[in-house]
Amino acid sequence: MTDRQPSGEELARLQALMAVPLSRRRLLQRAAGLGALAVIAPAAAACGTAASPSPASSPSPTAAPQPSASAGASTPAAPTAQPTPQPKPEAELFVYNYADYIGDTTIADFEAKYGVKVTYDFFDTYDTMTAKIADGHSGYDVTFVTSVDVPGFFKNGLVQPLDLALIPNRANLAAEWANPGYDPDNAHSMPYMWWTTGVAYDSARVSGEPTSWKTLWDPAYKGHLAMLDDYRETFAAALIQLGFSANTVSDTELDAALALLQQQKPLLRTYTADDIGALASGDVWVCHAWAADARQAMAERPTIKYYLPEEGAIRGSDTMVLLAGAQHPIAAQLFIDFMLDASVSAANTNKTGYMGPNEAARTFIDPSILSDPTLNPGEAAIAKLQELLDLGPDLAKYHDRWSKLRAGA
Amino acid sequence: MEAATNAVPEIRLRDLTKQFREVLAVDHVNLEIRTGEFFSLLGPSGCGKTTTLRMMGGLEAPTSGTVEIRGNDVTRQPPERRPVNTVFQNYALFPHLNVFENVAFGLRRRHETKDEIRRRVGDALALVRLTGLDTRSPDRLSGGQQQRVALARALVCQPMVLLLDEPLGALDLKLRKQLQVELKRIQREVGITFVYVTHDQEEALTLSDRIAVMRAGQVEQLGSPEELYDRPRNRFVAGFIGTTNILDGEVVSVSQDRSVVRLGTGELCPGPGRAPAAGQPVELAIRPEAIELRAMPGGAERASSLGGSPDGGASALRGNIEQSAYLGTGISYIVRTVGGQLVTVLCTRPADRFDTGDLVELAWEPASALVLAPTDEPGQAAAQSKTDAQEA
Amino acid sequence: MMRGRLREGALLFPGISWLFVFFAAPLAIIFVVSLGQRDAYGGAVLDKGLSFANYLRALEPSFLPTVANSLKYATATTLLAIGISYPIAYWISRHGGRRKGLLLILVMLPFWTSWVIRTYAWMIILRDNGVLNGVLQATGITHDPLILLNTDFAVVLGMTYGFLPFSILPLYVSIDRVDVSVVAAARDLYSSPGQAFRHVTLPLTMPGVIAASLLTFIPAIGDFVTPDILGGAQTTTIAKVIQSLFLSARDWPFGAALGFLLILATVIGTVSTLRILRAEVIG
Repeated sequence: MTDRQPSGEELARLQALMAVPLSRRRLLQRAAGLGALAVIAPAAAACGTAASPSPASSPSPTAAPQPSASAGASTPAAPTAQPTPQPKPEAELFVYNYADYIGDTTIADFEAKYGVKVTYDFFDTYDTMTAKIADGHSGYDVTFVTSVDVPGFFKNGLVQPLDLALIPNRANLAAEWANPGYDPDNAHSMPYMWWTTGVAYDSARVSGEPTSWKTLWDPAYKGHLAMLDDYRETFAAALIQLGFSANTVSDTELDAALALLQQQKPLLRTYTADDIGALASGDVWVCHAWAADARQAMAERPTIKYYLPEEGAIRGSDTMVLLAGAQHPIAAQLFIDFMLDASVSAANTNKTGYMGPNEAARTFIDPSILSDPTLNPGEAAIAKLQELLDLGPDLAKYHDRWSKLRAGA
Repeated sequence: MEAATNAVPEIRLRDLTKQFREVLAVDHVNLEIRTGEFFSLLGPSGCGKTTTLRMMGGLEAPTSGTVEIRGNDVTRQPPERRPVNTVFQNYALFPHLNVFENVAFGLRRRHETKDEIRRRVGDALALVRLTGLDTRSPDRLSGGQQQRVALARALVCQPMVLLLDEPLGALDLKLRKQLQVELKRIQREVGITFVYVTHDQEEALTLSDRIAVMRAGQVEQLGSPEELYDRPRNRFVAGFIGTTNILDGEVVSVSQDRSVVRLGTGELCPGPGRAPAAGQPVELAIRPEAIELRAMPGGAERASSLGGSPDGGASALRGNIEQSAYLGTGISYIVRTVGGQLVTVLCTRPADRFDTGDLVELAWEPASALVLAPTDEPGQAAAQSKTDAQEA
Repeated sequence: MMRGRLREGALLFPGISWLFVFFAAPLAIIFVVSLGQRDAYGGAVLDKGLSFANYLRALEPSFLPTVANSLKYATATTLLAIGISYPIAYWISRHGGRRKGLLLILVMLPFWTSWVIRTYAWMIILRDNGVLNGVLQATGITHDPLILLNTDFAVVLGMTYGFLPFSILPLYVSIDRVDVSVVAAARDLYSSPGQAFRHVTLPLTMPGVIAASLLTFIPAIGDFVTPDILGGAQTTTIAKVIQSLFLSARDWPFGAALGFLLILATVIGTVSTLRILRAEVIG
């Protein structure tokens, strides 16, 4: 649910120019921000800010630039014959994903194994992707959808049910992912990666070891606090702090959350779409942030730390879906199955830093990731996490209040 | 007051010089313009006359030299502080203001009272015969009317000197003649000094009390119209003012009040009354109307002998009529002499009618043959002062 | 006569179709959508009855602060842009000489770089550890970093920077058209340089000033990217609210209603400004 959308062309140019690590989400903002950072930071340092560490000087270990064979436009070939349910894949496959959200050799390995030619395109923002697939003729077979959107996408006819017989690797999923609340029995989606949303802070600026959402309301850091420019996440932070469900549809609870956020607004520097940039630049000392983003910010500013607030926090996940109108459904589902292979899934995690839902993959995952509480919180922490659910028409209750919050004086 | 200023020139230019990058536009000009006179700066385009005018008005800063107005050095004064006003070449009316406001512009800047402004603008418009057009927009006026507005706008401020930069240049001939008369009338009425820039010698001769003929940034000759016409100092002035025949030759003999000159074509002709010594080269200037044509016996036969004699007053050129043009006031002939020299002759006596091919003799009084000073090529005289400038 | 009129009609056709396809039709679509309702998954529903309910929501006082913000930024940006552009345009026109073309290209040069990248460059300059704070601290003017980024200051700065070429070009054109001899005439008629500017050059370049103001104000009031990138929690503009209604809330009907009102206000404001000014100029 990103908000800004510069063109894909701009993005591609940026990527080529800067060779900047692009994360799974909000890649545009990040890319542009860090890119500009990388170019200008040395000059800034030379201009008398030499004392501060140059945040862009060392690339994030999780994200070396990845060759993008097919970044940019892709026109799907003419449709092949209507598939019949047999495990012989079609000759081609069109996959649409965030940049740098897959293992280095995953696509090539899949092509080698099944003899399918894969066209792998990136989208710059989540909104671009949803706009592109909205009419059902995007030409893509597989894309990556945030779990909360799965029911809505299915109801709107954007995705089609999966043929689980083609996806035997589903057996690798941890029990909690085999029957998730947003999509019982994985009927329309297969989980890909998950993450948490919590609080990141700069330990050089913040005294003690904060443990609560309340740090984001601390007047001591006025002008250096930031919330995510994402209304579900931001309302969740307030709702959880108040002891309510992050998926509440109660007007009184939501009004209480709005009041809490309105009280916080004058303290805030910004509602940011670029939590990495906000933290890495040093402008923001306490930031509502996604875990993997916090990890990237740490690479640039080592004093950054991340925690899941004691009141509870949000866990979210991305899923792989078979798009309605897919011309290559067999290959698509074989691809989804391939992604659930233990070693393939582990390779993806090792590359991106995101934990997958794949129980069988754990043995192949880099121990440093498994032992990092930022990326792989313990059982107790996970137990306190809530998942954002599709609220249907009640979502408007959130957005109306969000508009009021943003519009208010 | 007026009388007291008579001794001091209205405007005095001392060594006034203007250099634009490579071009020396005005080159050490020294001029004194008298109070109340109609003074013209005459010359071909690019001679520096407009630049000289603009330096008087303060619109151009001199590279060196000074401008004095009634004895005050105003060289460093901005235009708004000088007691002069300008009528611009293309009038430069303010397109966003109506006629009244255009004329009132200078008065408003000088914070005159409302009544005073109304009275004086009214007077000025009456002077230029534009009464009633107060609310017109300049773009709805004819060229002549615009010119009058420009004039009124400058005069209403009662300047000591009015500077006019080719004010009639954009008008057609008839209108120009008409406005020339009016300019002269206005100048007489307001009685202030006019400095008038033009490239039109006829206009300058008609209007001016005195004229400075300029070329290549320098004043070639300064004088009244009569002086310039009758006694041009050099070939340039002679050529620029009116039509003239210029004959190159060498003095052959000099007697008391007569001389004989041998032209480059070998022919002999009457020379000036006071000629340089025999053997000296001369340039003669003879106005077309100063030449008398006499019919020669032999009718239409081609003239063949050089004629004349070196020893007496009988020396005269002979030639055939090559072209004639009826001008109303007279007939203009072009005569080709035996030696091949072309001479223009203006006959005002209707009795003398010649046909093309007629053999004629050309005669003139010695006093009509002027000896011109050796002509400076443009830039030659200027070369002394041009140390670092490129030759034009 | 008839044929002449037909030909006139034929000549007008491309222009009118252009206006229809790219202005009238989208506006009509926005208006129709604004009468509809939002469905659960972000579609605009028109068959459940049309109403002006979205307009009533749009007129709620809670949106006033963002409208005020938008007006504040657009006004400040316009004034600053004109103030900065006029001397630049004047200088190019009067002193550019043979290099006028080159200088105008230099004005346009920033357009060769992506606008988003240029705006991000301002982030680098303005943030706490940025270039500007570095200079301020190094020269001892400030001790602690000033909060510059995510403020009104940053938004107005970014917008002014972004829209500067839009104001320089029309100003240049109108200044260049002013006959220098008219200014000389004003000087000759007892005006100081300042008076000549006030009474002659400025009135004559008013059309350029108006064009530059409109070309700055209108995009500035609709700008959401600059307030988003350089602004902060306190700088939300009405355009940003509309954008988020369309993209993240997927409440198209409400977004369309707000958008329609914004367009309406802009058109009415522009037309009445031009009317007033035209009446004044013609007198």
